[in-house]
Amino acid sequence: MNETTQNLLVFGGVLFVIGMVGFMTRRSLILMFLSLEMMLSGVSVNLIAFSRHHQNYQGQILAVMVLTIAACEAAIALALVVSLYRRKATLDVAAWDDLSETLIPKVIEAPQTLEEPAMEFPKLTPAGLDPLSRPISANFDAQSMENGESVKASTLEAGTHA
Amino acid sequence: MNLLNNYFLNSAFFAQADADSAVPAAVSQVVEQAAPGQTWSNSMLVPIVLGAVGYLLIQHGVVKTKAYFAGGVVAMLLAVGFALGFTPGTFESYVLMSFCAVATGGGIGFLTAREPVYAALGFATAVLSFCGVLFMQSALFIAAATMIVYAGATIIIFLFVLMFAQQVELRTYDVQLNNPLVAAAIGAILLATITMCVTDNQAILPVRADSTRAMSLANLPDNLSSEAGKEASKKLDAIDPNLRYVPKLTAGLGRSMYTDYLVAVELAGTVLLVATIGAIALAQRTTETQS
Amino acid sequence: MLSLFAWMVPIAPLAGCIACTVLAFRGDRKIAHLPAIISLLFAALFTICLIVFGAQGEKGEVFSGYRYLNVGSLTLDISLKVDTLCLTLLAVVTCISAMIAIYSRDYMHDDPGYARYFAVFCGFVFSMTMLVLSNNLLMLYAFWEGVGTCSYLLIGFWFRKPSAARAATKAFLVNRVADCAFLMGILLLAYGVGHVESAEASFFARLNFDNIVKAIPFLSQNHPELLTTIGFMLMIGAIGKSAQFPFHVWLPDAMEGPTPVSALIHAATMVTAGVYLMARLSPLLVWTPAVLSAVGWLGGITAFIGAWMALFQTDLKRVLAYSTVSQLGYLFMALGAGAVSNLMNVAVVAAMFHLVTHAFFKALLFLSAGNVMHAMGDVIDMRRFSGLRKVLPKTNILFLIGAAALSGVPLLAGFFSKDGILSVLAQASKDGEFGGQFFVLLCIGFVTALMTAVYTSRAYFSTFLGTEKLPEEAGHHAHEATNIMLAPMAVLAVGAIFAGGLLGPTGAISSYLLQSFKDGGHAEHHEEVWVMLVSGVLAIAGIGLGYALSLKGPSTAESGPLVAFGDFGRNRLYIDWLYNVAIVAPMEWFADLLGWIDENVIDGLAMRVASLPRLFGLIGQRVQNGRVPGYTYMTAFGIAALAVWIATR
Repeated sequence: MNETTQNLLVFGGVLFVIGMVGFMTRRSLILMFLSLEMMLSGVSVNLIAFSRHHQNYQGQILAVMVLTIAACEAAIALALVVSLYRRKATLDVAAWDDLSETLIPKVIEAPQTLEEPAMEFPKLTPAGLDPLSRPISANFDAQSMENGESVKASTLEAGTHA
Repeated sequence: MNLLNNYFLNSAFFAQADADSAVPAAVSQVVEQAAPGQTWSNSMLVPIVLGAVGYLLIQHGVVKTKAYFAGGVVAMLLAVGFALGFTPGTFESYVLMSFCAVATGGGIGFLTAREPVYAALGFATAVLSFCGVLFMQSALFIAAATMIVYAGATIIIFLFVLMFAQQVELRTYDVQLNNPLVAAAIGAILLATITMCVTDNQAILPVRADSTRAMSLANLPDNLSSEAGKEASKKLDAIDPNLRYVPKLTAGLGRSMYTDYLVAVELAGTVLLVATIGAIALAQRTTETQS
Repeated sequence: MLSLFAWMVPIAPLAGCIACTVLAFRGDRKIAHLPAIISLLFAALFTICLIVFGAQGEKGEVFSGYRYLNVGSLTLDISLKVDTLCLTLLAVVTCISAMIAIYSRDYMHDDPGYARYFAVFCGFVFSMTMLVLSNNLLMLYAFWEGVGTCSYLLIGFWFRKPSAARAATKAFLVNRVADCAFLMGILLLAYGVGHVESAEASFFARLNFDNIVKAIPFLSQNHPELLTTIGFMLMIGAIGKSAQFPFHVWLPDAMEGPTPVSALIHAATMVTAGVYLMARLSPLLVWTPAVLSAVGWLGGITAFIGAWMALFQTDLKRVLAYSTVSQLGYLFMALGAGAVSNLMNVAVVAAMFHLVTHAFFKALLFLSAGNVMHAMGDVIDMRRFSGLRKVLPKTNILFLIGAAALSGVPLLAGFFSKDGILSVLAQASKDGEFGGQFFVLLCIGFVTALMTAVYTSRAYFSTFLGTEKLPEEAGHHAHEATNIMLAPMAVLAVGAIFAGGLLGPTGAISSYLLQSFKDGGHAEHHEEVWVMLVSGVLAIAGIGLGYALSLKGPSTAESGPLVAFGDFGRNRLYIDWLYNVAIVAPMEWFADLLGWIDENVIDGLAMRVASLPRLFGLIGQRVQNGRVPGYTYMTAFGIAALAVWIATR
């Protein structure tokens, strides 16, 4: 057994397992089909490794067949996904279990609100004048400021005049 | 392993094929390559388990916090490092293994990405790296075809659909996965088993020159019968007995496809045509769905 | 030719039955009487042809017709045995059934089950003729059950009435007890006949009457106790069907059926099947005097208690029903006289003679009661009407004829036939061994004759004489019956008047019947003049007593033992009550217990067992739940398991 062949076979296994785990865990229809393609890739690696190992074209030709069938499958799958999406406007595979066991209660999932990681902005050292801490000059353009601040500023101004 | 020996790679079958073949016995000799393969050791479990743990951590970290994510990446890197430890130490194999590693990383990204578009991009990465592996294995045509079909056509169309179906906010079904723990466990077990099988040197017979399809035109140079052809083959044999038979040339693949496997190829083309028609028929917007 | 006649007798009513069934299903109810009446008239015609043209041989003739089954040694031949005994009863059955079918045309005219009625009616006649004609005891048993079924269907004809449904069930169940013993007797008989060296190989053929008669001398020599057991079993079957003492309870309740049915089945024909069976098997019973003695006792008891209960009934039909029970007791008393050596044939002749005359006048009485019931708007309680001679003048005369014949007024049919029975009993009382018993029975016979005259005349006087009183249900119905109803009654009345005088004293019936019993005893029948005188006097006295009673009214309280006598009679001697307490209630309790066990133990167990798959199903439900992730996980798990299995083996 060639060591390269061995490694390639393991690599094919890795791709296959990744595809399988993806197919099991992913719930989006499209990603599930991509997982299938990943599994087919793993098999193709296998075939090509054996083709090299046995030094003939059989494996490669089988890989070509796999490729063809994968393309067919992708076409059909896409058509199906599109028509399914038209029905329910969701890609969730769990939405299509109308024929499932009714006695088992469906897991009702509250739509998860994902917490985006809190935006942490850099703390900059203040630069320039703080407009609120000192009187505003006469030629100050209130339009350029935000609304609340301008109101605040005008009251301040009135206070100082009084 | 006995199963494989008995049913799939029966040596008696090969012997019978040798006897039947018109190729001289010298051609069908056993050509054992220099490096014997690895044998199974329990330490091979380490990268597998590490990979599974890394996957879980990354998957968890994508949703929760970055610490998990970082831990997962570390675990994955460790796994890759361990795995490289089992590979032969040649430059070619390092290149090959780096392709493999990138493909695996793309796959993990595909598995764990929160946004479907990123997942698709991870898939594309994995496929491109996989094509690199195929290049290294002298499967040029298939590598190109895979790149065009997967990374080109399929991924692009899938991305279209994803974007067509994608909303602004994240969908629950993209984030909440089905039992990743169980899936990772099953995957790890399967991978360990595959590795165990593959590292059994008795399981797969040593390399042979192709004698099972002795009549294949693909294996014979065009001008074999001529003096020049004989000379050429002698030269090749002098360099490396394997060289003549290594399926390296895309022209050989094409010749084999359109001679030995003509019917299968035509059938595959027909299937493709039918699938095209089926896809058009299925995706058609009917009046019922509109109403 | 004779074979054709013999076969046509049962086939004609069968055809009528099929035609009526078709009509019942098609809904053409209005013409359903036509096939019935025509087929029954044909049956009567063929019977008369048989009597006139043939079957005069010593043993009668056997017509084998249809081989029903032939498997290995088992051969079922349906064959008919025609002799004078069977022809006598056959004539009664077919003629009276034809008359009653004509009567039913108007009596049942508005009933929604018109076609059903005639279908079952014809089915009954078919079964009865086959019962009478059959050459084989097992086949006889089959049609015995057939008449029982038809009787059940006709008693429960108005099945929406709870009392009718109950009565039908009661009749069926009581008969079932008796038939069980009958069947055991038949099987024992087949077993016994099989011991004879020359016995037929086929179980069925052993039970042909000729083979039974051939085997009897052997059995009586070698297995007398077996023969006695068989005789008792057959006797139980006969007294069940003929409503004798322990089994008499079903007959009065059977009056819930339509009145023509009561006339035909429960007075004239079916209940006499037991008598016919005893007569048919008399060559066997001759060898078992113990059985005949028991038959005599049972007949005597039944005759007496039937008359006793009839005395205190207020329901006109029930009076006639108990009278039927009582008269059937007479028949059995007469048969019992066969216990005395050499008297068997005479006893059979006397019983058959009374059977024929009784069929005429009892059918006539029932049809008259039907007329009364029809006119009174289904009211049959004698306390609620009286003095109907103006309203129903013709029925009045017909009832009077029947009542007189039943009471035994001299020169009418009942007088001669009852006198024949009493003479046989008187002859038997001179015997050494059984003399005492038959003397007692003779006394019972005289007392019963007196009582018969009393209750019959009382029923007549309180119904037709006295001040006119009509129940309010009668309304505008209170009119005389149509001529189509009266015509067959007139025929029966002629029979009730003249049948006794023509058949009895002239010796016609005895000489005719004795053709079938050439090798039996040869004792001649002696007319006992003093018996005739006593019974005539008793009849006249009874009628006078009855008139006096009807004037006094039934509610008069007497003192002393007469009160107890009346209470017993009114409460049917507490026999039904006793059955209820001793048999029905424990059985119901037992059935409740079984029901409880069925519901809680067996069903509970079954439910427990059934919940096991559900438990497994619950496990499988989680896995095979129809959702995509579940299947993908199962598939992946399977692949991994397969890989591990391959790698580790």
